[in-house]
Amino acid sequence: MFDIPSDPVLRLALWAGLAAAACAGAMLATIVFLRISLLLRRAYEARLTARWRPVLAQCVDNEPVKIPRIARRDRYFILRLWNVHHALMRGQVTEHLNGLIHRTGLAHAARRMLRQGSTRQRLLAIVTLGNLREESALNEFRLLADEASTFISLAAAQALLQTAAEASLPWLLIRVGRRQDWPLTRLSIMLRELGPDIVSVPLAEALLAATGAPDATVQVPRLIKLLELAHPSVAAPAVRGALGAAGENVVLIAACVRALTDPRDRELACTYANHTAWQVRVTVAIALRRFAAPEDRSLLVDMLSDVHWWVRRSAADTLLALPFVTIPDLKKIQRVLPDRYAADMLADAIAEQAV
Amino acid sequence: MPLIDFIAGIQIFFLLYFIGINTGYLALNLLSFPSLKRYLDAHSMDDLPRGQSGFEPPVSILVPAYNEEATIAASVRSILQLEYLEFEVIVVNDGAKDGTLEVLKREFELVRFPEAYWQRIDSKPIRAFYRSRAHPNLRVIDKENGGKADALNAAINAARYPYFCGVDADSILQRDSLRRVVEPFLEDPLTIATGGTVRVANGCTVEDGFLVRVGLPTNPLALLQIVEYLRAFLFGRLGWTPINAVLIISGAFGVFRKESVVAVGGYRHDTVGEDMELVVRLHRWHRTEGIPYRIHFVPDPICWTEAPESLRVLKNQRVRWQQGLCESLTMNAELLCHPKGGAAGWIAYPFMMLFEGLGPLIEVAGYVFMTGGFLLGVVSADAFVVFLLVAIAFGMVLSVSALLLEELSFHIYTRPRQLLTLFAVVILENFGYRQLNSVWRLWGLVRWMIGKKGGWGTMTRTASWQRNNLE
Repeated sequence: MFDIPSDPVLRLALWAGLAAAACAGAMLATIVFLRISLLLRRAYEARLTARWRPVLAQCVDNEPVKIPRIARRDRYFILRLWNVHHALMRGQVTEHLNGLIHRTGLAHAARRMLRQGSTRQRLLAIVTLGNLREESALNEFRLLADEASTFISLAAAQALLQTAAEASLPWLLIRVGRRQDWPLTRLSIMLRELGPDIVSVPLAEALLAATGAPDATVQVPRLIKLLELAHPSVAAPAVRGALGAAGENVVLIAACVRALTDPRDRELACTYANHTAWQVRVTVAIALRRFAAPEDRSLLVDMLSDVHWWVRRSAADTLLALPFVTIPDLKKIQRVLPDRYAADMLADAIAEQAV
Repeated sequence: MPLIDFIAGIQIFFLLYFIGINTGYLALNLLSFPSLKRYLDAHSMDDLPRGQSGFEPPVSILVPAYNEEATIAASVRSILQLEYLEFEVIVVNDGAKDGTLEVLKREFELVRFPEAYWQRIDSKPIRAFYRSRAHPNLRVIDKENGGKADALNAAINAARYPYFCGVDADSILQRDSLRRVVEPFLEDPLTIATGGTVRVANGCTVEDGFLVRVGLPTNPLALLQIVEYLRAFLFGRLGWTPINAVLIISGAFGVFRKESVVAVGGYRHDTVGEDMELVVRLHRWHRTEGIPYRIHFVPDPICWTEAPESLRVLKNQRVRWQQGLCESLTMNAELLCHPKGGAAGWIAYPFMMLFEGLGPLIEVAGYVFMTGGFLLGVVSADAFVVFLLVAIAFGMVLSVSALLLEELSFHIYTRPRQLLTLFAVVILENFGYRQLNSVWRLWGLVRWMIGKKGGWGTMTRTASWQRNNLE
């Protein structure tokens, strides 16, 4: 028979081992419990979905007359289901969906979740109230948009734009520049939905304001990338202004030159073709793809001999993309190029197009 | 009397070591829970429809291949079908002795191509570049044999995009794998590398190169590795993420910022653990240079790999992993307790060195000493029983907690029978399998000590998922 050891270290180790074994047993039991809960929850949610999907589907035509009773514990799930439907619908249908959620009292439930819920519930509440365009929640959205949590703040930013886009945009764009944790992907989707008429001027103004900020190197490139969503007539002067204020900052110059899209900026772009930083030279080659004139051909051919691979590559790609330069032209140029690296790059680009 | 004291001292050392190592892992486990919860919270609304905008960074997917004629075409085809806005695939035929290149030429209509190659990192000479007529975003590099690291370096040189993703030729991905693993780059501009969870593909069903049904293997060795992978990824890596101390990103599927990797000189040729070594070196370089950075880990199961089903192949793999781990740590010894080392240098590195690097030596010595001592009568029955209890019970806690993390998050093994099988595995693996693993890892440690060189890991693939597909 095993006796409890008298040695204190052995005794301690024995208790530690027994505690570990008990812990393992408890965790196994927890897993079983979680699995059973999961299966039961899934079955229950399937029943809820079967009951609620027809109700939500009726919203395509009208607000449903008969609404099933909603138990307190079902609120989260039904709100999720409602949000999925809402994201798929447009126009009058969303109004019907909004009417439905008000009638069920779930809009109030969402407000309560926003204040007292868990992280998931708060996130769902923000999305719901954003879809409802709940103006009474604007202040809460603003507070939440300043939270450190990326997903909460971003959801709140989206809700702000859904609810009061024009009023919120200038306030929000200051944060767009600063908050590097807000992915441009999501921001772009959000702003694109608003359309260029709404976003153009605030974006241009935010960009110009950012050029003078101490953290301009962070803000300007982010805002410039979003400027493609603005009307070119508004974006072009803003980019020119930002470029004028960029001084010798390579990051800013490169971001601005890359964003030049107006053919009137051709000469401005070309002034940077011999910039000391390759990051700037490469953007000149890229920008010229949009508006190069026949006389820029020699500049691009010179760029094929640049010391940096990416400048050579971009110049070759641009030459190939120009409508007034043909493949036989380029082959002729390639044959007489004195620089081997330039000739190799052009050969690569020509072959790539042939493939 | 002094001998008895010495033996008693050693007993206590082994007991405390086993308690210490397992407590360390449990601490990692505790760190993993809030990380995983945060991650799941952040993705709780992911099922809402959402479009793409074009700001996802373009990625170069690098596929080093050596003697992969049986699987390379299926692998490349599945990679080409990834749901991602802009990516290129660069396959490197690292001087294969079989028909890898011929298969690629035939399957993807390759034509020779005059690539303007930019050699920023050293690699063995390139024989030819090819481009696919069928897939404009597929290129193939044919080069002299130089090993996996050398193949990856050649591919990095040829990569056109700012981020690259290293993929093993035998990795099985999900359509959204790349999109998920790239997410940290979108959300955190300091990110220089991300890795995802790798799971065991044995027993699963794969169609068109993608995993369509999760299953458990019938092979006991593969089954045992399922729990090992859960442990290694769900808390072995996730736990280090909040303190920016992830030292390993699996070579099977990881994304890196190209310029950061080029700045540190690319993959090293003189180690068998080139994937880990690169990550440790990235930590060392960024820390010592004072450059802010983040290395993230994505807990989603996004890459599936075939686990060895024979003892010989498994042994070779584990020996290689252990050797690679030791090499990675010693090649970057400067990181250890460096004044600027942060959590990577002060916590993760010593942890890896003591518990992962030297662990097998102490574990095997512990088992040998305690068992031998008990049989010879110099170790008391009490001490021996307590030692076994500690070693087995703590091992079980770690495995069960990994299973718990899985149940709390992704629960990919959906059928009750699968769960019961895994329960059996977490208990049974402590009786022989883990000890055997320690012996293999000890052999890896010895190989590192005597400076044995390694090459491409030769892994016998059964590709049962492919067989399923053909049936």
